[in-house]
Order: sequence, then C-alpha cells, then structure tokens
Amino acid sequence: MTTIPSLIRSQQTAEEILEPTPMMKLRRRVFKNHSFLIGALTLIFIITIAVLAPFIAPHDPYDQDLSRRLINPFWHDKKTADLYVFGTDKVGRDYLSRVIYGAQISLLIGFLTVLISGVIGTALGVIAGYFGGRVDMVVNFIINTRLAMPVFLVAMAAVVAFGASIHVVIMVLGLFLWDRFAVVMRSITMQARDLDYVSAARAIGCSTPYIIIREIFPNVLSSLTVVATVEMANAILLEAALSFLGFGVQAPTPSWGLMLNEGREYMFFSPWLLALPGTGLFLLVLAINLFGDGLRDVTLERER
Amino acid sequence: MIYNLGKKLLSALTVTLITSSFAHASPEDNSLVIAWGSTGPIEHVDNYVNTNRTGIWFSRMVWDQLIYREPKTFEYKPLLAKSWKALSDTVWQFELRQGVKFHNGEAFDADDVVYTLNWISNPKNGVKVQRNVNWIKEARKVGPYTVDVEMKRPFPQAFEFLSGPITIYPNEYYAKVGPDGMHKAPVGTGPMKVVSIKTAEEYVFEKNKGYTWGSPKGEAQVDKMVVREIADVQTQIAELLAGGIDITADISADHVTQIGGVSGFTALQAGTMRTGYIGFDAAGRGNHEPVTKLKVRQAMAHAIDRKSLVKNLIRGDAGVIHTPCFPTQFGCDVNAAVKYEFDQGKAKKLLAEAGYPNGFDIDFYTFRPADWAEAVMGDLAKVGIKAKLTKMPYFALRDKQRKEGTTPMFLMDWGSYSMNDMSAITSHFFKKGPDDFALDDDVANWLEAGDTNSDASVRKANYAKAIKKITGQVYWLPMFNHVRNYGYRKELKFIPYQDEIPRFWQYGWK
Amino acid sequence: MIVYTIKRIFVAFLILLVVSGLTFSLSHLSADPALTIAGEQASDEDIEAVRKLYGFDKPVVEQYFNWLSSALQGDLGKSYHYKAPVVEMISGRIGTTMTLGFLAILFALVVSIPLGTIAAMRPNSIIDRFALLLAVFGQALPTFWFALMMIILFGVWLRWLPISGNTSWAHFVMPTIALGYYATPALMRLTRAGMIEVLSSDYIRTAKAKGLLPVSVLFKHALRNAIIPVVALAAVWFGFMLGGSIVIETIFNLKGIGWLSYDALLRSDLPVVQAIVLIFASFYVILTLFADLLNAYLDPRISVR
Repeated sequence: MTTIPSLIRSQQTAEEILEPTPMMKLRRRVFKNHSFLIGALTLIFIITIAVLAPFIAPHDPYDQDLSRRLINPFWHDKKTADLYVFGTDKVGRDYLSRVIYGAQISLLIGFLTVLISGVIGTALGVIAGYFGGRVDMVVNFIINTRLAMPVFLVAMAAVVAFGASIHVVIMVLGLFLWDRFAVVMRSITMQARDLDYVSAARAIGCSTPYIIIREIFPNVLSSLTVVATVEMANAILLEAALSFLGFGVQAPTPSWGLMLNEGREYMFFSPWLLALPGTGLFLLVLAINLFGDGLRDVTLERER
Repeated sequence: MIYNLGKKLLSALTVTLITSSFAHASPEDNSLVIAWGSTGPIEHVDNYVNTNRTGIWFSRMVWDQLIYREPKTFEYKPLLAKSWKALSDTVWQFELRQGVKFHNGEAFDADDVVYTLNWISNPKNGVKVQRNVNWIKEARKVGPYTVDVEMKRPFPQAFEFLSGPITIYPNEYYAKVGPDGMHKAPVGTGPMKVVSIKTAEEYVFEKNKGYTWGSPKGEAQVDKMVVREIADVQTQIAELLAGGIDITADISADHVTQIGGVSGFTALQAGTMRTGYIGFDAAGRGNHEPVTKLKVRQAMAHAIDRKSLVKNLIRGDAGVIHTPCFPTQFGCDVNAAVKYEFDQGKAKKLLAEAGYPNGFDIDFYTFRPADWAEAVMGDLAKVGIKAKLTKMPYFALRDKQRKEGTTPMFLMDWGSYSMNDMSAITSHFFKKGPDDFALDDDVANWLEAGDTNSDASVRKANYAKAIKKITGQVYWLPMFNHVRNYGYRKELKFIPYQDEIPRFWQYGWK
Repeated sequence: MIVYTIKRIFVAFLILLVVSGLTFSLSHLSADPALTIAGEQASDEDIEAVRKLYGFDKPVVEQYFNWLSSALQGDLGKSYHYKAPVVEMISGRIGTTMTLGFLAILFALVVSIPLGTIAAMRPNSIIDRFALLLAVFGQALPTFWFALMMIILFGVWLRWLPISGNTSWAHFVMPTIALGYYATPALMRLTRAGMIEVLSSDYIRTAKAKGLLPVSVLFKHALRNAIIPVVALAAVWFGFMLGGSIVIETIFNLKGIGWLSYDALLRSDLPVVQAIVLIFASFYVILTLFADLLNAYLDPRISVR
C-alpha cells in the first residue's frame, strides 16, 4: 500500500533506483543539504530512545491495572502529570512508556525485515548478475512474479494462514520486500564482474563465492544501505497498516500500529491516543527517508 | 466473460457516479436509519439459507413464528398460532390465527404452516442449520386453520425453535420463487415490508400497514427504515455524531460514557445472555501439559479477578457468571456450580502443589477485543503464568480448535442462539463434539439425558450434575455475560433485550 | 516483434499461473473451508458432507487444477459465505473501486499539475516551498491515519462531507483525497521537471520571440509536451491505488473489492480472496505487458535481445 508503485519498480534499473527519485530531489530541496543531518540526528535520537527504553521509560509498558485505566495526559489532568505524563491506555498501562517501547518494535520490524529481504534479494541479484544467461532469466521471472503479487492483500492472507504475531509479520514482509535489493545487486554485480580486479581474482583461481564475498560485496555495501533505508521505511509503514487492521502484531506488544488500532476506539474523545503513536510513526519514517536521501548523496559523490 | 465483466463494470461505474443526494433521515418524516455491522453482512436473507446469527434481526422484522417468546419473562405466547395442545409425547396440535395476510396479499392458513415445516424438515432442501429443523418429522393439515406437528422423538426444546429460528413462509410464493427469489424479494407476515436489498450495504423497509391483528410483537413505529451495514465501529460513531445514522449497537463500554456525554445523544448498556468463558484444554488435545492438571486450572480460576474485569471493562448490568450456561436458561442451576473467589495467594499455592511454583508459559487465544484478554493475562502474570495472546478472526480460531485442537486456553463466548435452554450452550460444548476440550464421559451422558427427557425434573437433575462436574473440574472458567452497548439520538424510543435479538420495528420517535 | 510479443504474453500468463498457485496453496493452509461453508452451528456430519460436496477431501494440487480449469472458462467459483458466484460479486463491486482509483488519480493530477507548473515558473516562491513541504511531510504520513483525521475534521466537526457509503459524489471526496494524496508529490515533481525542460527549449523561446502571449505559450505548447510522461506515470499509479483501496474502503465503508477482500479474509472466504488477488495481479501484468510492448515498439533493439 504505502510503497512506491511496484509497476514503476519493475521497469527500473539499478541506476534509476540509486539515482535520487523525484521524491528525494524534492525532499532535498526542502531541507537543502541538511537532510542527511536532520534525518540522521532524528534517527539516532529514536534509536537511542529505543535502546535505552528500559532506563528512560517511567513504567513497565506491560504493567496494567484496570483501576487506573484511561487517565488523561498532563495537558488535561494536572494531578496525574508526574506519574503518567501521557496518561494511560484502556487497561491502565502508562502510555508514555508504551510510546517509547513502540520505537523498539518499529525499529526491530524494520531492521529484521530488511535483513531477511536483503539476504534474499542480494542472493538472487548476485546469482543473476554473476551467472547471467538462463539463471538471470529465471531470477527475472521470480522478481516479476513477486511484483505481480499485491503485497498488502497477500500479507494479510499469510497472517490469517499462519496466525498473527510479530514473527509472522517480519517473515512475511521479509519475503516480500526483496525485489529492489535483487534489481540493484543484479546490475551492480554485472558491472563488477567485468572489473579488472575481479577478473584478476578469477584468473588466479579464486572460487566464485570467494570472489563474490571478498571482491564484490565491499563495493556495493553503500548501495545496499541506501536500498535498505527505503525498504525499512516501507516495512514500518506496512506493519503499521497491517496491525491497524488487526492483521499484524498481537496485543499487548506496544507496536505503534497496534496502538493506533487500539487508540482508534477513542479517536473522537481522546484523540491523543491516536496522535501520539501516529507522531512516532511519522517522525521515524520521515527520519529514515531523509537519512536515506542524504546517504545516497554521499554515496554518489564518493563514487563519482 | 471479459466482455460481460466490462459491461457490468461500466454500468456500475455510471450508476455510482450518477446516484446522488445523501439526505439522511430525520424524525420529521418518521423514518429511521440504523447502523448494523457486528454480526456482519447477511449472506442470504432467506432465513433457512443463512446461519441465523447474521440474519436474525432481518427475519424478526419480515416474518413471524408460530409462537412468541416473551423477551423479558421468556414465557410462550400465541403469535401465528392461537393456541396449542399436546396430543401425545411427540405430537403438538396448533390452532392458527385467522385474518393474517402476507405482504403480497396471500392469506395465511394451515397450508403455509404445513408447507413451510415439511419443506424445511426435508434434508434434501438443504436448510443450513439442520439442528433447527431436523427434529420435525412431519406437519399435517387437520383443518383450514389446524395443524398437527409430529416430532421424531420427545423434544422438550421444540418451542424454543418454533418461537425462534422457524419462521412461516407463504407456500404459494415460496414454491414459485424458492430461496433465491426469497432473497431478492422477501415476503412474510411480519411488521415490516422489504422495499429493497443491497447485499452488505443497505436494507430498506416500510411499515406493514396490515399488521393490525394484535400480534404481541406490536406494530412498526416508523414508516420507513434503512438498515445500513457498516462494519467499522468508529465509522458508525462518526456517522452517528454527524447525523448520518440514528442508532448504533456495536459500540464499546467506553463509548457509552463518551457518547452519552454529547448533547443530543443517549447511550445505554444492556446485558445479554451471551456467556463468556475461558476454556481449557483439559483433555490434552493439544498436548499442553500444565492445563491438563486440575490444580493448575483451579489456580487460574482463583488468579483471575473477574469482578474487576466486569466492573472496569464490561460494566453495565453484566455480572460474573459461575455456571457454564446463562442463569435464566432452563436447567442452569447456579447452586450446582462450584465457585472460585479471587485469591492469588491460593492460586500460587495451588500452582506450587501442581509442580509449577514458578508458573509456566501458555498460548492464549481469543477473537474478542484484546483488552479483555489482556486483563486476564495481567492477572495471570502476577502468579507467574505467562500467557501469550493470539487474536484471530472467529472462523479461523474455531477452525484451529476443531482441526488442530492446539488451543490450551481460550477466551470465547456463546450466544446460545438466543435460546433460553441450557442445551443450547452446555450440551453443545460438552457432549464430545468437535468443540469439546473436556471429553468427559459422565458429563456427556448427563447432558444427553437432560436433552432428551421430557420430564422437567429429570432434566434439571441431570443438568445440575453436569454443571457441578464442569465447574468442579474447571473445564471452563465461566466469566461474565456480555453487554450490548447502544448509542442513539436522544429523541429515539429504544428498548434493549437480553436475548440479543434486535427488534428494530419497535424503535420509534418520541 | 511478433515473436517478442508472443514471448511476453506467454511470460505474463506464466506469472499469473504462479501467482494463483501460490495464493491457492497459501489460502488453503489458512482454514478449513468446509467449516466456513457449513456455518457456526453445523455438526460434524454437516461439515463432512460439505467437505465431500466441494471436494476438499482431495489433494490440494488436484483442487488447484480443478479451480484453474474453471477459472480459464471464466468461472471463479462461488463464495463460501454469500453463496453467490464470485464473478458476479466482484463485477458488482469493482465499479466502486475503479471509481475510487480513477478519482484518486484524477485528484492527484489536478493538484500536482498546477502546482508543478507554478513551481516550474516560479521556483522557490512561497507557494512552491509550501507545496513541497506539505508533500515531503505527507509522504511519511500513514494513509489510514490521514483518513481518520479527515473523518474527524470534515465529517464530524464541520459536517461538510458524508463519512461512509457510496451513494453520491460527495461520498467519494474524502476517500479520494486519502488515497490520492500519496501520488501527488511524484507527479508534481515530474510536471515541474518536464515544464522546466520544455520552457527552456528552442521552440518555446521562438514562440515567445514571435510575440505570443506567455499564457498561450504555456498552455498550448509547454504544458502539452510536459504532461505526457505525467499521464503515463499516473496510469501506473492507478494499478497501485487498487491495492491501497483495502484500507481506505474499510475505513469509509465503501463496498468495493478492497473491502470485499478484507471481509473475505475475516471469513476465510477463499474463492473471493483468490479471485481478487488474481485480479490485482492481472492489472499489474497487463499494464507491464503494455509498457514493455510500447517500449519495444519505440526501441526495436529490445525485441531483438
């Protein structure tokens, strides 16, 4: 759903993917050259919060008590401000702590999804690029088949089939969001294959895996990172949408998407329950996008 | 096919674009817009083709039964049948009411009753819910307004079916159009006539002006009614607040407080007989060792603060239930039940005795709002039991239970098909059917004896034994009866009922 | 060229075949359809009877080929829940989804072309910067969240727009914006780039030199040339919008095929899910097929490869 249209993707080459997209050029114009800095700082901030959550969070995000449910946040209720700054949710858990831990969940889903999809996509891409010919054709067919599948709908079906949990969501998204990795790796590998030092390595009898791991990988790491940021933002938004419809992470996990799903019940009367996790999600995705744009600039400049 | 699809697509496109005006009902033209969604779209409005649960509100508006069950006292009163008497253990004779007409003008008489009962009881006609009809042997016309109904065996719950899912169809019309025709243009004797049906979207009704023969159901209170299918509760509330609909029945307890606080709206809670319970895999179908131990189940029964859950999350006039059935139901003897008070100290002791002083991990399943399950999990965590929640859609969960049986613990509920008889709930779950996780021979035998005997005292005695064993063994931890929450415009005259059956035609404007 | 076309069509079919096979096996893992069909009050015997009747007792592979052979004849089976033919259900609802997707893309174009044009003519003006800021932020905004905010504001507080249903134009306003805003930044940017390029081209300068009015130059020449790639991109976005319609239709109670797929998943109504996946996949495959063929036509080297 909130992905770059797959159609465009299928037509793309690696250069186009790594080339700044219209969206990125646009962001760059807005943030001038500060985009990398703003993105990186925000991202570091959110990661710090996530990592230090056990120390920062004023309460246990799972500690519930029905007798203190739905306490208003500090701007509505001065009395409880010191105890529950953002109030409590519908089973009496501290909302601030849940928002803080929510960063962990979103980042975890983002990272692990990208890890899985990165491995799949890279493997397919490298194989296709290195061997070419029929292998390449088969990989291309696999990529096209994957692109033809409506991600969101099939992800929902998979969640119904295997039961909703954070593992299933990560697995499903990981198995879906690898196409861009594959396209990029394929084309980069093709180029690298013909470079001098790779030919030299082959000439002195290095094995294929050795060449791929030792000679090709280091050269494509930065490109991989750029693709990873795009897919990470994607995965985080998809998880949120899945959890929002009840096809994602299970309660009581403090996922922002799930919190949006739960907070939705109170959208007309306690809108902060919707606004707070929504803001977290928004900031994280924005930061990842900006960071990715900036990284791409740095990468492209260095390579030129 | 492609061509046809394209043509239909084109026409759909234009229709959607041209139809306009979203004038909503107002009290001035005596019309009413209702949002409905909790039970999901009616798959097919023919009462015998759908599962009854989805179609129940519809069927009560359009059709009538032979017998009326008074919704507050659960007494049986005349509806299409004027009177009845038992001719033998297995035969009832009904005197029918005269002067009743179907919506299409067809007069109601013995032929309609005989035709309907014989049609539905014939397995070839494929009535979806066979248990509703498979006890009927035959219906015979004795006079123009007299019918004998023969049962296959003594069947004490017969009136629950004759006052519930069995509605009377017009014989000539149904013979002509069949189920699909009935779906397109339903015809009955009920208080409202169908104007139009758009599956899963909206149903439009108008008042049946001829419904003046003194039906205990009462005449329709509004001239026109639109029932809209809106699955999403928040969308329903938005529509209510924005004036697009007049009443919703799907909101949560918190919404009741919130909507009740908005001027121009009223909200109320009304208890139903839907009974919530935590089921345990005591029979070990899924090989989860701890729950097969009685002491562990008892510990959990003591560990869960049901009172606090009811007071804080369910509210209304819901209460903690101690029986594996709803107390108004026939046979549901509260005194027979073993009760477990909230006592976490005792729970810990029992756990230690069972060999789990540090608790254990368990998978916990539900299809209901997660906060109820989360409250239970919070209590269990305090005695060391770590429950991991999986929330699934109803059908998926039920399927998992039946096929795999790998659900050691589950928070579910049962509405007893709105039947005021214990057989509709306890016998369903404890007679070693696919939903039975106790597989207890004694319980199954007692329930069978209770279900099939026509002597009320024998039935009660057997049911009491079953209740005692089920609660003593904690096969189920009965939780609470569900509450239905309603939000509506202040000017609406609205009556809720315990049996969960909405009677929309009784809603009107003050 | 002909060989290439045939090859591409063959691959397209192969893709649909694999997609449908994957979905079929996935959905048949999820639930026992017999239970869904028989309903919640069914006995074991009822369920067993249904299983036999529908052939669920046969191996999945056999079931798949049965489904495939009837699908090729235009019969996508019957809904377990609604008992109606799936083709009928979808054709009755696809209009709503197509209308929504069409309006959403129209909205995106109507917003992005003027904004892109202004931006091209007056880069870095306040309007330009404001529009860009909005777009950048919008891109990080979850669609469903944005939709809910609109409902609160325009539906409940201001009461300007109807919230749910599809009975009038007005009902499509909020869903259209919610679905369409996501496409605007990309289209806007493309318009802007295209306009800048065209405006600096020789023939526009010639036209200006000939003394033609700036407005007529803009509309008659510049915009017309810049807009072609934008419309092409918009067509591509259209396919993507169908997928996004699941959340939007659910929130706004629009009963199109997006909603239908959600409803069907909740009920384990497999033939419906199966058919909708196939339809979405077909949209993708057909659109890419056309794009590839067009490319090949424009650049003959491709088909030789």
